[in-house]
Amino acid sequence: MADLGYIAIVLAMASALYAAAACLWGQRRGEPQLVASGRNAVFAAGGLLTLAVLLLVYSFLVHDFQIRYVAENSSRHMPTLYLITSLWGGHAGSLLFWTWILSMFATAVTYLYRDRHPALLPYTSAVLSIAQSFFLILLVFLANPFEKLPFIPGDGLGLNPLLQNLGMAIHPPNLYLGYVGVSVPWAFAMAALLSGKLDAGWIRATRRWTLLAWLFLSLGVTLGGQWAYVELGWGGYWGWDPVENSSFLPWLTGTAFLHSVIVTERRGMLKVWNMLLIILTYNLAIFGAFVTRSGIIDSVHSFTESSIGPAFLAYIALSLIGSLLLLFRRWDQLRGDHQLEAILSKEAAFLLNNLLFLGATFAIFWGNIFPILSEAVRGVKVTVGAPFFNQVSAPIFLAILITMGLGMLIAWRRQTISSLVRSLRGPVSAGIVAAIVLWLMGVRLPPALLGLSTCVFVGAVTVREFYQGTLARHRLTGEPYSVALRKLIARNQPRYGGYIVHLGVILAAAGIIGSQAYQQEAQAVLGPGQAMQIGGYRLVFQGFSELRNENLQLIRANLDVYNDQGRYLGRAEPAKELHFVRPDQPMTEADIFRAIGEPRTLFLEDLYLILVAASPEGTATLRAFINPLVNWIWMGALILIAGTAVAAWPEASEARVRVPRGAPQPAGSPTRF
Amino acid sequence: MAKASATIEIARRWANPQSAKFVVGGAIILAAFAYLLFTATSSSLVFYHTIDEVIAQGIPVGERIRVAGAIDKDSIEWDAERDTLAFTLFNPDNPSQRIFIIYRGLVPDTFWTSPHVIMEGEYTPGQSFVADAMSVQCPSKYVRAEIQ
Repeated sequence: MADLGYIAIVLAMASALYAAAACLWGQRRGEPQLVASGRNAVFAAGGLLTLAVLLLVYSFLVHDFQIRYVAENSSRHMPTLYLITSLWGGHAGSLLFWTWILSMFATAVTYLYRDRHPALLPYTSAVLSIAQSFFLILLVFLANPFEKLPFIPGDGLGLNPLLQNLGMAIHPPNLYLGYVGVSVPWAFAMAALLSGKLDAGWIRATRRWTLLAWLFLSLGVTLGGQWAYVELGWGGYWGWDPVENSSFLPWLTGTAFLHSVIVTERRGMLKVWNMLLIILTYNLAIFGAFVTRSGIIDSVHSFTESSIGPAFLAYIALSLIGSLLLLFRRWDQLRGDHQLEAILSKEAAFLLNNLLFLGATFAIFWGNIFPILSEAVRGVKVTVGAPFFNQVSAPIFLAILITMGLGMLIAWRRQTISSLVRSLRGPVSAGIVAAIVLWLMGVRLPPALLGLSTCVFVGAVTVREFYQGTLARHRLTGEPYSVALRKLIARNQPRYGGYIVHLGVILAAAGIIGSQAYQQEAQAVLGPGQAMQIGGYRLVFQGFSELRNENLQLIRANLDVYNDQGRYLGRAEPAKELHFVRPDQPMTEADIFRAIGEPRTLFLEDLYLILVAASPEGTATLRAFINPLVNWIWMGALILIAGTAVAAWPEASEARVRVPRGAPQPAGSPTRF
Repeated sequence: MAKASATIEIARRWANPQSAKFVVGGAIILAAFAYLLFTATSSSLVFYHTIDEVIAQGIPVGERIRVAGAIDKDSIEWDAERDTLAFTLFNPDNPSQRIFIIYRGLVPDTFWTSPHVIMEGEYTPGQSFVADAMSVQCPSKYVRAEIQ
């Protein structure tokens, strides 16, 4: 099994290398047969990698402990689901998984566009194959997931219990889909540079791929935060850890890219920006993988130091320099069709948006690599921690929020100050009213007050876009409001989908501001019958209960929760869990208390409870947090998904155009990507 | 030739008062970024020291540092009531170099199994290292013991 798997990887490497060379040469020399054989090699690499992945999964399922990777990442008594997810539980396997996803993207792109973009596609396939070859070389020479042990152990080491959790099963594939997904728009951009076909064709071809990758990146970042919040039991969701930051960086440049291409499609401007942003996004995605795997930056997340660090660095250097050289070669041809006319214009707002996102990216990147820089330059290792990131990102993200609001208001080309003031009046008033109400409610910290009222301002701008559009349609056509709203969105899905995403982002921003500014914390040691108080809740400890099965032992603290009027709300059960596989590693199971009868626990704040310790004498050490508005972050993420889906969904008009004449297609069938 | 005309074109655009506005605007934004980055960096520096540096140099009382080392598992004393964790951190390359750590705060689940830890805090006049932040290699730390 191990040998077969390794052979599959070696053959996949050969196919990918051949595909890259054949597509490139074939297209250069105008030899369609060579391009066709390169295309087949792309499919072959995809097939071989699929085989390798299936073989490794199969080895997990049959407990083939002769394979080192299987022995180190699974054991006999693991549930089947986690045996499968062990595929990406470790270093070599997750690299294989990553490469496989990349090969599936390459295969899909090469297949779906076989008849379109004849000038671009061979280059796209070639670039994707080069990227794939790099990972395959790593797998073949430095991180073989099918490496054999000299003996066969009776049982494996098992998967860390913290990873045996649904969130952790979903989170890595999700992030990988995002990381790897940005390869597609990058490859198309490189194809545009290579072929000299620099019109907006490559942007239109990749719009959905970009949205899809961006969606997965967004989800990866939020799911990671949620997993940390629910599972790790420290009361927070984001620690500005280097690896977390690394997943955030491509999201930032990717978001800027999504916006920047709008200007190119509408006005033929910012073409160099698009190229720069997608090149950065791709390389930051690879950088993320590098940080996680090289151990170069001390992180709580990284794999232990591995030998592939330098290889990654070399690849980043190559792809960055190569991409930039291609870009400089075409620089003259990428001049905008128009010049910026006025500072008060949508174009300028988009440009400012690009600058701000790039600024945020640079600031976070700077903080991330600061320890390496200082060691290299001054010989001392210095870090900047969470205070640095909070201090730089708060003003930048506030500026991004404000730009978001203004950008939606301002017209293309130019806008007069007087008309801008007129359209600002309503949303700004909403923001001011919100500030006053919040002040009266006791929100008095200036940054929180400013941030939250900005959210209301931007929210008001966004909602008004929907309101005015719906109203105009209703007046014009007499459609009922609900129909008018639906048709408004359907007529311009990318735009209104984008606005829905904005609503989600605003909600999440409010959640972040609230939870960062107003977290409360309390700790107490309670004997049975004793109580502690936090944020208008009274918690009475009623002793422990214990649960035991063949896998684990669970010790729960039973807490009766009352509100400040003394009304009983329900029972909270923070716990410690002991897996017998890992008796030395107790797991904290935080309880986020919710009660239907107390709406604030559902919508406004989390009562987050941790059992720190259970003493043999029957006392419990408890820590309690009030985390305001954390829920809004997760709700914001859901709205963001919905908005992205709306933006990416094939439009009715588009579907009609694409159906080839004479080819009957069932009504309502989705167009392909 | 084409290059020369491109240069002239660029010069003309720079001289254009309309573009000048964008250049000035861009410069202001850049300056703001630089200022933000500089102040934030200088106000949040934490020096990273190894245990032998801590012992050799003597860290002044009150200076905030980060120190990494191996945990002496036998030394761990945890007072859950007072939420205080005390243990000895040693230099894995020279186990005789040890510092005594007092930590108050949440103890991550992974502390108990992790061989290494990074502590952030400062020396107090009593000469023990009082930490208020702990980073442990995280659960998603995929690679644990290797099978030999």
